[in-house]
Amino acid sequence: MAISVPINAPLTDSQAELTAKIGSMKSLLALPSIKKKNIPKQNQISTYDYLLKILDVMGLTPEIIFNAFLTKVFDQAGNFLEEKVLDAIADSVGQQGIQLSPYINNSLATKKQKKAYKASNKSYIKNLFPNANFLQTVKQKLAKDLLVMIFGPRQVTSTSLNTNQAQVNNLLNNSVCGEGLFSLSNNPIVRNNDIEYNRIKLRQELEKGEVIYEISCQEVKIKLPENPGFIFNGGGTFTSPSSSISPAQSLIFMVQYTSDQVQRINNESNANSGGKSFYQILIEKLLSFISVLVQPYLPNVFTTINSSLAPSQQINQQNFIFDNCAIANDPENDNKKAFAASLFNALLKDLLKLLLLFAIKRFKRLVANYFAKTAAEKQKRKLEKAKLKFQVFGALQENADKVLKYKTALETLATVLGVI
Amino acid sequence: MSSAIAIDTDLQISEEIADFMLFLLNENRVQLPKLSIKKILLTKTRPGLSAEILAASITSRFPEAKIPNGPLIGGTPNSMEILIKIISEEIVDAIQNDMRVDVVTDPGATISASGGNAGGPVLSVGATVAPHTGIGIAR
Repeated sequence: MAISVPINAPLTDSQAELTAKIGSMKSLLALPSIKKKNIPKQNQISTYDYLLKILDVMGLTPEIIFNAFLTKVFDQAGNFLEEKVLDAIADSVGQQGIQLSPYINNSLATKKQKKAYKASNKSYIKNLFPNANFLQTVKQKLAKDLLVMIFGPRQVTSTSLNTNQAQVNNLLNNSVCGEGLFSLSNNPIVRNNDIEYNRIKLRQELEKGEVIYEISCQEVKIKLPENPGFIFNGGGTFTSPSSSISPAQSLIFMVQYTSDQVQRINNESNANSGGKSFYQILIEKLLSFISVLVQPYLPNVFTTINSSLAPSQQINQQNFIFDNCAIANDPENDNKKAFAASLFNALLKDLLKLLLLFAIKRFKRLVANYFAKTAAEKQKRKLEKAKLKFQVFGALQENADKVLKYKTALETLATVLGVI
Repeated sequence: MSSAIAIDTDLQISEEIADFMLFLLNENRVQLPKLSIKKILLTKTRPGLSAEILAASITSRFPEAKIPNGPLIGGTPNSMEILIKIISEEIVDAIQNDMRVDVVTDPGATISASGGNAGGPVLSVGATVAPHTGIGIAR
């Protein structure tokens, strides 16, 4: 067989340059072209998730804001929650095309008309309750019922947070129905059968009083203490036994308790993240369940509203306020959702406001520090370069000839090289 | 199926938040001070761009980014340093050979002229009324 000698044909500079350039052009053509993403609002990351992400990349935790939010919602001296509830009632009435004063009942009302009715109703109801405080005495019970909705169990004992079996049954049923009804994230696409599965699982967990949450990619089983009442009676690590404790403090203590439970199961680092993650779960549950929690205390509110209306214009709570199960069974009915949606969004708005102000404040500080530091470093580098130059050339003029410059520079090494 | 109770569209402002924070970032950057004529004239003494000096400056700061300097273990050439040298050479070459500098002067530059006629010498002082363009070379 003849010998085949490979041909050694090196390329000239220009030949090599051209082939390299063609190669790189082909590679660049293969890059995906830059497209401006025009994502519809409802498909973008939700404001809540985005703010948490911003705080996370700044190395901040939202705990302080969640504390402030809980304190505001459960403030026994304030009427923040009451005002939001009254506004939600006004919205639910307006959603059905009813304006309370002057009375209008327009079942074919347009979206714009409904918006006007809602605004008018809010102002009217606000005037009826100048110092709305109808939830003042039940805020601790609201906090207890919230924990019942989160943790169960169905079986009531003398030490349960709520000792009324009928109320606990109602709360747990609504907790199960509330699964998948609300989300602080945008449009989570969950199949119907997945929601049904989640509801069945949640029902089982709540019945037992052992709820499983996914914390730091691990499933953690959380259970209320045997005698959970101490959380609301000044017990715990942060309070002295004799001092009165606010509902918000109790909930914050509950977060700590959950963190401790996670710590028993996991290591220290997971315990911390577990506590933080549970805080977010608690806030999400609060927003989802608040409409159900306040419903038992609304009859008196409706009585007061009706007392100022003609008998034919009076409104009935059952026609405007619906629980989570009624909404879950008829999810397309906007009238049934109006009260819960209004209250959920009103509280979410306030939470977002707190988070946004906190994020902006810290971001401004970070930006100011960043620019101050980079400017200072830049200046320092410039000075060091100038100093180096000065050290080498001393008083030598810039236009001194090259030999003189070399000689002067070399003199800086004289300690080693000796006199040159 | 998405959530039955949706977040109010008025509360969907994640894009606006990003825009606002970018605005804050832009507003807070350090503004470069305007150079005096004297400082601009002093730039004549600058040595000009050097790809080698630039590459050396960049590679000297590799430790800040936890990148090793010099040959790697076993004497392998440090590809990062070679890449920085190539990039510096090409950028400096492009600036020095391809970059175009267009200059425009503001109107209002003082001008004076002198001449004479039968009546004697004439001195006139005025100002340019239109902007003027010029060219330059980046070195």
